[in-house]
Amino acid sequence: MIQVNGLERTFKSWLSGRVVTAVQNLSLHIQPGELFGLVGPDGAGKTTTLRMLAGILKPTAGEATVNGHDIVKGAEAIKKELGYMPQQFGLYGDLTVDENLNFICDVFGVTGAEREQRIKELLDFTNLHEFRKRRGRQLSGGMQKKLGLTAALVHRPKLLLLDEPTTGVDPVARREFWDILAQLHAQGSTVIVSTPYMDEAERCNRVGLMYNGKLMICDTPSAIKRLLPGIVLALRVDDLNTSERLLKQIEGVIDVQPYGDVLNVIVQDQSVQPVIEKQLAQAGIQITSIRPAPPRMEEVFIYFVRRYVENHTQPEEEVHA
Amino acid sequence: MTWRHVMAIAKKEWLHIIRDPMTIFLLAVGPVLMLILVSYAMATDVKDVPVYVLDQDNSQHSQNLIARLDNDDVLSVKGDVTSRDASERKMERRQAKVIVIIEPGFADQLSSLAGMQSMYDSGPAFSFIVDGTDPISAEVATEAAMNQSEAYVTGELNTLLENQLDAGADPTLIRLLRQQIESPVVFDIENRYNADLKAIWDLVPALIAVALVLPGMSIATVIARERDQGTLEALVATPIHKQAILMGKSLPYMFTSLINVGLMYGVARVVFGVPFRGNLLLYLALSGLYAFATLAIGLLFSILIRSQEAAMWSAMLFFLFPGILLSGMFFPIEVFPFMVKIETLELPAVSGVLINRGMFLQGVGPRVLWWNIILLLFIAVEGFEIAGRIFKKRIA
Repeated sequence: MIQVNGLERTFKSWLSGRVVTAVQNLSLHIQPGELFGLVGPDGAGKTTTLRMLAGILKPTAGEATVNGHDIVKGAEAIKKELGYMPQQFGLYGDLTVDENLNFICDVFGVTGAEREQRIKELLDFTNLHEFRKRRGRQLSGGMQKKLGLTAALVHRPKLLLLDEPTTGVDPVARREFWDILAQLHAQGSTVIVSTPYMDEAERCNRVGLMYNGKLMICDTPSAIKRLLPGIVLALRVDDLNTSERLLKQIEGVIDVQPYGDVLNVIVQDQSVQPVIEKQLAQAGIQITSIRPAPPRMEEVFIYFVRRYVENHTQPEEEVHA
Repeated sequence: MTWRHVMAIAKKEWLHIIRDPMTIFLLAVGPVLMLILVSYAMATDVKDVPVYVLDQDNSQHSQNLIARLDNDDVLSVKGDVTSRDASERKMERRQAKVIVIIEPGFADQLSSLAGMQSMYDSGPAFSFIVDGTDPISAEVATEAAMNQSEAYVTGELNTLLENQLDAGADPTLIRLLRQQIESPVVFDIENRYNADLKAIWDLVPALIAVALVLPGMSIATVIARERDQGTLEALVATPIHKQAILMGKSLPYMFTSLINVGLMYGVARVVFGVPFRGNLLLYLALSGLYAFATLAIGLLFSILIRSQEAAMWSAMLFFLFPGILLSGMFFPIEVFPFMVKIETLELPAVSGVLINRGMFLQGVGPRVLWWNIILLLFIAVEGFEIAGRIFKKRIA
């Protein structure tokens, strides 16, 4: 479905002449029927990657094909079979839900009874029926995202590219949105979705972790979690700050990540636990609970990002060549 | 490029237009309003037109006439001149709009039957010179001067006849002469610089052309607006051909332009009584072509300038300032320096003004206007061609 080889995109500011590498040497293969998550923080290069795949941004180096079409020469052919949902609301705020959908149907030649049927089906799917007469800009963020998805699905595209479809959406709507994506996945659609949320990555069948324009890891969520060199101990203590500092000095502790009132401590193996308990007790810190926890994408991602930053003491210079 | 796509964009664009009150205003009422406002602005409040007098008679009657003219709201006697040359200089310097020349013997014409007879035989011993460069005030001033003079002369002649009758003149002769003074005295009025004073006929057709730059200005924001609102990204990710996007975006503006041509044609004919002497179908076709050329340039602005605000202002600077000032509406193009003349070639308004004036007043057709038709066709076709070439279905 998608073959990406050494894709690269730089932006040069004509004002300062500074070159920014948004995407660097990206290679990726995506099979038909995948629900692929492009995960990473803001500025990781997710949007740039999706735009290149959608045929609306030329790469500065490398190549990619989508459905067998080259993303530069075959851009228009890609667009025929593509449902693209930009990060920003891409529909018209001064047009109603119906008018927006009719416009998209006009564009893709979905007409007559088929149009009626398709719009009804999609609005059922996305629960937007009662808002058909409402103007786009009067919809909530979550509803706008759903409308964007509805519009992207009108012509039954072979491939869906969704750029941060759940950013700015409340948790309930986020869950609903992912249920919809899961249904699409089940129906056999190929979906590529970008997100800054690690918990969403868990719902993809395969995940690419992006950071600083680079694809750091690309695998299934469970395989990625196995990349963590050790286990996670969830630790509740009465003094988070002191504990974090102490823990980092203990042999066998790989990483300490605060998460709410919990410290997620990545350790080499179970044998480190008694050492931790002893050291903290010596420092007079009360341990409320300590137990092994299954690693989540979040811990893995933060671990890899930290390691990347440590290995690239001057990552800014490296990226902004 | 398919019609389905063109119509899809056109329909959507139409919705934008009717949704945004500012656009409706600019498109629907703007041009007509501009036409009416500017025309009336030039026609209102003619008063205190400066008058200079060359009084060679220096009599009670000449003084009375001058006082009477000065009393009129429209006219204001500023002073005397002593010679014809002096009066010419006053007019050249635009200090005098009207010169009243009272010749020796004016008092005589009003004080004896023989003098009165000579006035009817060879005209009154006074005349006007009116500056015609501002035809509206010239017309109003002429009328006021004529009315005042006629009233004064008729009144004085009536008194003269009364007095003659009292002095024992032949009543039959007096009756005959009374009939004679009922027919007006023919004044000699010379309109300097502009003989016909039908400037409104000249102005209105030119304004029609100039007013049609408004749709060109408002289309200048259409691409930038999509870019600003973030909808361009989704739009360029659809398989719509880029020419279809541009055509579809232009059609609703084309439609409003043509409606405006119709409205303004009506206003010109009915409100301002401008004659139309050309072929109406040809006029509509050429107006369409002119609108198309204007829109093509507006569209170029829209693509080249990335923010809505900036596109709007650049289009305004292009269309309103050189577009109107150099259009030939106010100053004849012949007086421009050569380089400016070359520059006016790219302004559709130049051809628009010439076509409108030519078709309204002169009733000319393609045999005279061919050069402007070719120019407009070139601007329209090239404008869209270049727009299509520089508009990329990409976002960076």
